[in-house]
Amino acid sequence: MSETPVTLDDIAVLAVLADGIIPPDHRDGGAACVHAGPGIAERMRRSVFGFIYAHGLATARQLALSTFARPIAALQADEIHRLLGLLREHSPHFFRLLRADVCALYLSDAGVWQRLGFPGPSAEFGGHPDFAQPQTRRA
Amino acid sequence: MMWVRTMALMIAVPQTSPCAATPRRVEVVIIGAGPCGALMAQRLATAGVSVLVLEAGPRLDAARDLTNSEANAGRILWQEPRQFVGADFVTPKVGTGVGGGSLAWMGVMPRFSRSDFRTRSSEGVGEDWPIGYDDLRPYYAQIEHEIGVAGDCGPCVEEPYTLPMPAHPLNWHAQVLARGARALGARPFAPPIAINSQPRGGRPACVYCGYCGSGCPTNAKASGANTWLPQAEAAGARVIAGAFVERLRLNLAGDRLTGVDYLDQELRTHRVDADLVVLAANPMENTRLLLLSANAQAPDGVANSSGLVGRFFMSHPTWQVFGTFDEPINAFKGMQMGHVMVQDHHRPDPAADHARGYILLSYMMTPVTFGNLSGLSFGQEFKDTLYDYAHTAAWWAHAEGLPFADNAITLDTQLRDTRGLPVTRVTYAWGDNDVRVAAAARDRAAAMMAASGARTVRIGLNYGAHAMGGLRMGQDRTTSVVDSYGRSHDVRNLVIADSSVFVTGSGVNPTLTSLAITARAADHLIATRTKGSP
Repeated sequence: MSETPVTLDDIAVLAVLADGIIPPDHRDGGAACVHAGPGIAERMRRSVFGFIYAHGLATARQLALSTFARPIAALQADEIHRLLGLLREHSPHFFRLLRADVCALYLSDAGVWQRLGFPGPSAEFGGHPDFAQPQTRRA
Repeated sequence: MMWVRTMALMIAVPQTSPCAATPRRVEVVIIGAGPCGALMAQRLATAGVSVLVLEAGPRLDAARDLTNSEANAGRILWQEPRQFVGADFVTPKVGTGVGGGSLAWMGVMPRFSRSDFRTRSSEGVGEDWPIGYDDLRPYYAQIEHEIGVAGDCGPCVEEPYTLPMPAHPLNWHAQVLARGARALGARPFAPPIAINSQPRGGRPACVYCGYCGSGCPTNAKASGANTWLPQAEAAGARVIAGAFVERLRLNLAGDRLTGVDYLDQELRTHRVDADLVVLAANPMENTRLLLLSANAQAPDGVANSSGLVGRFFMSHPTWQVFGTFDEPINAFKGMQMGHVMVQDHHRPDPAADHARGYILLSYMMTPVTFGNLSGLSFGQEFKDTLYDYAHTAAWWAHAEGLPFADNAITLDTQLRDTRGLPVTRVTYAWGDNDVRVAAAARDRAAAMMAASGARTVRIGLNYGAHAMGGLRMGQDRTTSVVDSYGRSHDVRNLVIADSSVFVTGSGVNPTLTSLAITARAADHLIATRTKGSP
């Protein structure tokens, strides 16, 4: 299978967009805390859908220049948010793929689970025998 | 032929030499080891037919390979590229591997109603099936008992029936949802579900770990791989995993198949001759294979004299509706889907602004799937949604999508898979009625969520659930691809045995009906075989 070429700038742009999908706040560092930029770049390189990423990144760069007259790396957080809104409209396949991959990385992290109140795998420990009881506490 | 020198002998072997493990000839080749392929294999093998099952995906060991992890999706869901185009983004989830879609399914097993088979006659939409509820009733009961179904038939069925296992208790999530449903006059109940509520069939009871969609590590959830397929193999059927069928071979007259060619994982071609070929590889891959097999005798694809191969493809228009509660819900404790169901609206309603109907099912996901089905939000709004996870309840609002000829599966002219073969191209647009009935389902779910006490009701993703149709059944060979037993009108030793043959999709989950149709087709094959055919 042929791989999709990925540049250092691609990785940087993916990191910025991933942070826009799940931003840092008082709870954690957002997508950056799972190193989403390099992680998604690796998916882009190896995935059969790498071409969607390549097209999407090109669109993102064009939209940044045409909308803000600056490259993505120079945009502020609120401008990245607007850019993602444009990508959702103009490049829906890319937006959905990016959002799904950011989700997969961020929501597979045990630290994030703990903050969300999800205990993770349980089958080998007997599952959740209290499943039918009123739930009074987060996991 | 090519000549190969081996020791002192000169032997002739075909260029597509099969490996030693591949039978050169069998009576029946079944393509796809999902639940329908497994059922067909079990029926035919136990009747004494020599059967070979070819499955593109791997064979997995549940305890080893399906431990609680959402990353299992990479093993049990079809990952190869497909092209999705059209006005709407309809990308139904499809399984792969020995067990097929039943590795990743949720196990919900309601029967279709009588009116589901008569949408044209009853409401002037869609099309009537050539069979009805009474044709499938004995097969519904057979399947429910064989695979093991827990639950109740519910208050909305035309004909009450009993299931072999008691219902699962409602998890807390379902109890919260049920109180809102009852407050609005609905009759929630624990629906039929193919997950053991008690030990049965050599499989344990569910431990409610909440990872159903990632594969079941305990085998409490039924699949083709832990029910019919072992029985088929015990009766002599062969199953080859990692075998991608690239071509059906048609005879010179163009009216019979002589066998199939498949690629192993090293992309070596193997040839198997067969008296009968059964396609059970889901609508998208079944259709793709028929089109890939075009030749001089069938320039538009095998079994396609009607020009309808791939047309009338269907999915279920579905909305995800979430509610955030002050109290913890911990909805991850329990079966992911179907602890509770509302079926009151799964019937024609002359007062509604739409034809057909819908159901609501409890459906809470593990975190990655939750993120994906939460909608298309991003930024702080999305992060806040994620952090509501433990306090979130969710209805799956699932409606009937009607068949349209332009919703079609074709071959993409540009994108190819790693084997160099054109991939499936799915063109889809919801019809006006699809949009209206799905909106009614969404709005009803939102009202029930509010009645349950949610402080926030959030509408999540709108998507297509399930793949159906594309090779529909009918009596008229100019308006359908196969007859009521799934047999091709054009190629009489080709049978389609899965949801590909659906004429309409109902508003309920389709797997039980796919299985009932398969069991009926198998009975017919065995009966006709005794009479010397095919």
